[in-house]
Amino acid sequence: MTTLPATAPATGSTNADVVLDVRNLTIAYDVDGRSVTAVDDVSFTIRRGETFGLAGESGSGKSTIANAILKLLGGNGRVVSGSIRCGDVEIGDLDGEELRSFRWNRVSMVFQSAMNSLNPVMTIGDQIVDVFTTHRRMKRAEAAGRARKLLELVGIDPKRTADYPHQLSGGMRQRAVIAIALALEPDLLIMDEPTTALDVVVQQEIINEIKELQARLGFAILFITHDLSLMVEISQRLGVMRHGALLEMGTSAEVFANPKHDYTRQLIEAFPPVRRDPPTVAPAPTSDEEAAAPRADVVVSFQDVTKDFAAGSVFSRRINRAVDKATFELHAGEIVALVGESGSGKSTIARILARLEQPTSGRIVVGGIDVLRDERRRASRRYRKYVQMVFQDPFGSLNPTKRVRHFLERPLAIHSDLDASRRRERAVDLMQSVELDPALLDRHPHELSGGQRQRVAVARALAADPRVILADEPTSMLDVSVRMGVLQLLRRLRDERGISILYITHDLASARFVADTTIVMHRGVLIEGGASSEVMDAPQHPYTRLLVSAAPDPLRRTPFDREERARARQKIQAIVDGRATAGEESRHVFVSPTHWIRDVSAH
Amino acid sequence: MSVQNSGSSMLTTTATSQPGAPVNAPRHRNRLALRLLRDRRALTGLVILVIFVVVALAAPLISPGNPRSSVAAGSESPSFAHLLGTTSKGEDVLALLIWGSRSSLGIGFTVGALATLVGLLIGLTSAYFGRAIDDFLSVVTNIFLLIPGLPLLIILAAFLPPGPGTIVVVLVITGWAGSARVVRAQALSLRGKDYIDAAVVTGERPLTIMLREMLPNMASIVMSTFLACVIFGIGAQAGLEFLGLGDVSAVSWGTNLFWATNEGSLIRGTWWTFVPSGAAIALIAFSLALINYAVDEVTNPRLAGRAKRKDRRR
Repeated sequence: MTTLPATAPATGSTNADVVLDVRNLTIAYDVDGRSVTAVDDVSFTIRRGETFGLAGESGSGKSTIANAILKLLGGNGRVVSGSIRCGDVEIGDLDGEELRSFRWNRVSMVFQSAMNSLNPVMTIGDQIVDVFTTHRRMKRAEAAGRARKLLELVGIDPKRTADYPHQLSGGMRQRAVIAIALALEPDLLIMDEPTTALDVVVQQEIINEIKELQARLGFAILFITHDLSLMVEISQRLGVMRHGALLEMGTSAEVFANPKHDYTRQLIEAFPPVRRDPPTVAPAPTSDEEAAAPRADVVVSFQDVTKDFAAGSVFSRRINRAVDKATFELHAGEIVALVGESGSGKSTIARILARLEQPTSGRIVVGGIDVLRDERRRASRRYRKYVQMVFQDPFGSLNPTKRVRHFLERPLAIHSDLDASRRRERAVDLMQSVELDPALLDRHPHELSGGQRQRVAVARALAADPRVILADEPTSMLDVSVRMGVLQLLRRLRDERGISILYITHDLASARFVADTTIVMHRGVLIEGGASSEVMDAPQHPYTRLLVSAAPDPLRRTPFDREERARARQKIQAIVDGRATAGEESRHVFVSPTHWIRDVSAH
Repeated sequence: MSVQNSGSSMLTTTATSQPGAPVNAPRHRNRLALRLLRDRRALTGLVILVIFVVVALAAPLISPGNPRSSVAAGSESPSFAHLLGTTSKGEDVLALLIWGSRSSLGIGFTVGALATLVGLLIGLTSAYFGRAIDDFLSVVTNIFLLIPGLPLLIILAAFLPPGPGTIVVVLVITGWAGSARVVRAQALSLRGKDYIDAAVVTGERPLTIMLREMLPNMASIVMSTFLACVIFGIGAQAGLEFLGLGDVSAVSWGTNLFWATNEGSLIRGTWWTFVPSGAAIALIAFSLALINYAVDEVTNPRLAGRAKRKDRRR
């Protein structure tokens, strides 16, 4: 295999350069005896050393193409017409042993969920060795040596070859999967949403890892994702798919700067940039004078709230501190975003505020009442009327045996004294206020789309006419094109009804889009907070800086620097360790009237 | 459109039911009865069950008069006058069988319903509240599961006054633990669902959540525990009465067997006095088991197996 520069020139390519040639491909699935077209007349080529992106939402047919290339369409899927050529091989003609040697030797694949594609009862080393011993006549010892080299190549300490998948972090698992995919030095690597399940910081590291490997080994990549800004950053050319058709294709920069199709524009807008150019540090006009004095309209106040979870057995008790002395306030008509990676404790804060979890210590004042003192055991109905919640997964938060009507009329029955006919009228009003057709009231949840379900969940929260809504990653399970709609709905509710919203997310860009105030959380600690524009344009805490810099940015100018990243991680680790030993009363320090930071000692 | 990678990721499978066209997934409760009727095993079971119930209800019409009265000489073998022969006391065995089904089915279904109800309440309470309440109720359930059933039955039956009420009480006490355990396991998994948390946040009271939010999602498991409890009830009642611990003057399949052994029919070879009652018990248990399997399969498509891989919806 020859080594080519990662940025293969787009022009002057000969036929020999083409690794994958998809022509007029049409794929259909047989569903209940009917034929449903999943991919409709799609053509594209990928050249050696190039990264080609396929963008689109679920159901757009992008994964179907990936499966077709490896001939992995299920029993009911078939290629109707068109051809897929990989170098000199026509994939449709492959069968039996030929197909077996084609897969992984020529084309390999990285699946979305690393945990599902690794065998939980085999060490990662053995899983790579397996690939060598199956496809190459190779002694186990020799294969083991290769496996160690390969793991080192993707950035895993070779000492960990004997680890089982569950002992690795999510990022390491994904690296291991990539190592397995690269084991036989394929010409083409298909990556189906390889980083969707990962945190942004890890995502950026892995993407760079892939880029470096590509520069060194010269394989081509078919990159599939719904995140257009990430795609623009990694791929040279991309295609946008919807409903099985390729809407638009071109070089990434050009498509991004100058989208031809409305749908492409919509996808681009769904991922607003985290940082604005030029930085808009100027705080919101009202905040400067008012924020200095304590505001009177506090609706929720957390004071040193701590939550410990007991882990382990009776014999080895450990305590995991999910939330460590969280202090913040939510004002009337304010949207506060709580941002952090998975496991940072942000959802625990929402669950504490929803009184689904009991905090270990601290004080929570909601609507002027110290709830932990006055409503110790469980929340009163008054409290439930005051605070409502929208859950992350709209597929799980609606009872499948009930109709939409039930979700809206129950809170009305509980919290208002309307009679049955008035409740029905209110339910219609509520549906309209979340932009849904009232005819859907008699549907079951499974008859609604994801976006519709999440709107029903929002309407349910609104039914009680609350002062505060907790929104726990309300858009993370939704398709890109409906995300913006839900976020805009949240904003509108705030503007029209003055509802305060605590918006929990891992996505900085959406936080910036929707929230007035952003608070960053890391390992259970609120480390920095303030007006969203200030926090993101002028981050003070090393972790916030890392988070902001790692967000996908199509217009990135500063290249990724591995050493700098290592330094930043070290610094953050030092701060975390310092917290445990020092135990001193760590207070918020204001860097501007609307911007505070914790852990200043390390700053 | 993710029918192809069934289960490769939650995200893609769940996101399939996408915009526009509403998904025509089966409304499972309305269709349950219909789909059961289409299942051959369920149909067989239901037919047998219905025949037994009709016979039991129509006993006074089919076989008028007191079944305990002597109608012929003792120990006659089956003939046209007495289709199933007579006992040594000269009672008609067919009449005993028909009248016996009233007590056996009545007590069986009562025990089944009550044991399921108790199990349901304890299982749901245990799973919903968790922690100390769960620990306590689980310990109680496990104790009842571990106590050997028959000795407890015998002791309780010996101390309480004889009669159908006693038998029901005794059988419910010994029979609820199994269903409580099954219900608790299922309810625990439901307890972790977001929609239960959502109901809590809405302000629903615990009892409402258990009965209105959780119970409808457990319909199939409740149905199959109920059927299993009925089988247990019928069998255990027959067992108790066979041992003479029931009310021996009443007519039921169990007492029929009791009298048959008391009169030494096995030694004397009068097989017609015990075979019909025994066969009736076996047959009714068989029919209930058939329905049970069918319910399981209809509500849980994954068991349906064999090539019929329908796309799984929640």
